[in-house]
Amino acid sequence: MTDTQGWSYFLLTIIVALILSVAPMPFDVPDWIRNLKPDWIVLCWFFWIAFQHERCSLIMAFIVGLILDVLYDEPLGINSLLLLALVFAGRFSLRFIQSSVGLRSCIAVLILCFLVTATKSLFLLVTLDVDILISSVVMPPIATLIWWVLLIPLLNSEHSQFRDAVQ
Amino acid sequence: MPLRSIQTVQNTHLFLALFISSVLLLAVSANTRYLIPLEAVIRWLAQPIVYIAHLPANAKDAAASYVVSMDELQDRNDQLLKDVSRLNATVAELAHARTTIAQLGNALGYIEENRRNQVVCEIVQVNPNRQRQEVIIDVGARQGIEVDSGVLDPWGVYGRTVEVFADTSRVLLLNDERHATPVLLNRTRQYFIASGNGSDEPLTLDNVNLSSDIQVGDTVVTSGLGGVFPEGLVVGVVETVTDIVAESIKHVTVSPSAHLKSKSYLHVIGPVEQP
Repeated sequence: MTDTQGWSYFLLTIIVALILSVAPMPFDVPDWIRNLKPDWIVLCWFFWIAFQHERCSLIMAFIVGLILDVLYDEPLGINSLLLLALVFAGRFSLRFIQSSVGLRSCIAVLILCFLVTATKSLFLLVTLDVDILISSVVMPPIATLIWWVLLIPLLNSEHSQFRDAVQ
Repeated sequence: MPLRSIQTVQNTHLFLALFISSVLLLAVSANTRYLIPLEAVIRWLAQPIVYIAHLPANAKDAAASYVVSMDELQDRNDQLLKDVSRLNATVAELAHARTTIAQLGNALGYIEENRRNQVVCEIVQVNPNRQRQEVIIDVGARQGIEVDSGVLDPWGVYGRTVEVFADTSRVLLLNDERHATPVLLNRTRQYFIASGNGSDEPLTLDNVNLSSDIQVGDTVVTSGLGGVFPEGLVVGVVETVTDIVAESIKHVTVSPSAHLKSKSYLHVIGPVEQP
């Protein structure tokens, strides 16, 4: 697989994550089910940081963050700031994550996703006086972790093949 | 210097530059409106993503409206004909009442409030942010919509426009924490402010005196103050009344009449009609 194809996969997954992030749930769904929606962007970026960190450029994180700001209707800059921090933190914890796709990566996903959600909620509380709902801070990281755990067998079984294929 | 170290230094510089840019953007966008044109450009570029994200829901709606049995269509048609007949009778009664009111008004020297246009629209997007109760509707500045126009659904007050684009507008729902509506109790004509408390929570009436006469089941309507809604539109029904003696206030919750969690046609109250 060529480098161009690798980039195509990367961009495609980012676009799919953006689409899933803004895909609406039915109107009559209770809030606890809404809160079970994972943070697709964090999941997607974490995946690429763990397996192809060279592709996770800071400029791309900045641009995707700005698009998310507009899609979520949040102040311009908040998601780009968080994604930049995620990429930077992810790169520092590469050795911790990459040694195996298992418990360590689960801990990293949970902590990073929680930090992203909590920081955003805290910022909205301070600037826009929007109340923090505990469920909306706690549930998305758990939902993201569940999706990550579901991905682990797939990634472990074809881990090396996947890396060879996209490199 | 080794190549890897040079790359690391460059990455750190780039990270710092982008980090500072993000902080500056955040500070400017959170406190001023200078970045609205930039947001509009990004919003326009992100339109395909929003369109694709809403495709399954739109396809489901389209399928539900196209794939129906003949019997079901016949039943629906019968029901609509009955509704039209009943509404025609009501309109005739209202026209008579209006003439009577106008005659009484003339006799008493009352100046009738100018009528307002109503623009029918549909919801095209729901804000995915769980802490915000907002929707995007398919009418905007080109259809004559302005910021702070009242929005109604067939059952009552739905919200108001807070941002207007060329062909779409952002509507803040009645139950959003940032929304407050000047209201009055239909029975006692007392004025209050109804505030939103987020999704799934009823509205609350602020600063209700312990001596206020409020009963469960009272209808709450718009007071006409604030200029967003005309007087008399149904906001909701009083759900609970709890005395808080220590603070000398009543905690009053109001169940909104509008179906805030269902997709229906909305009406935007436009500017006043010129005679």
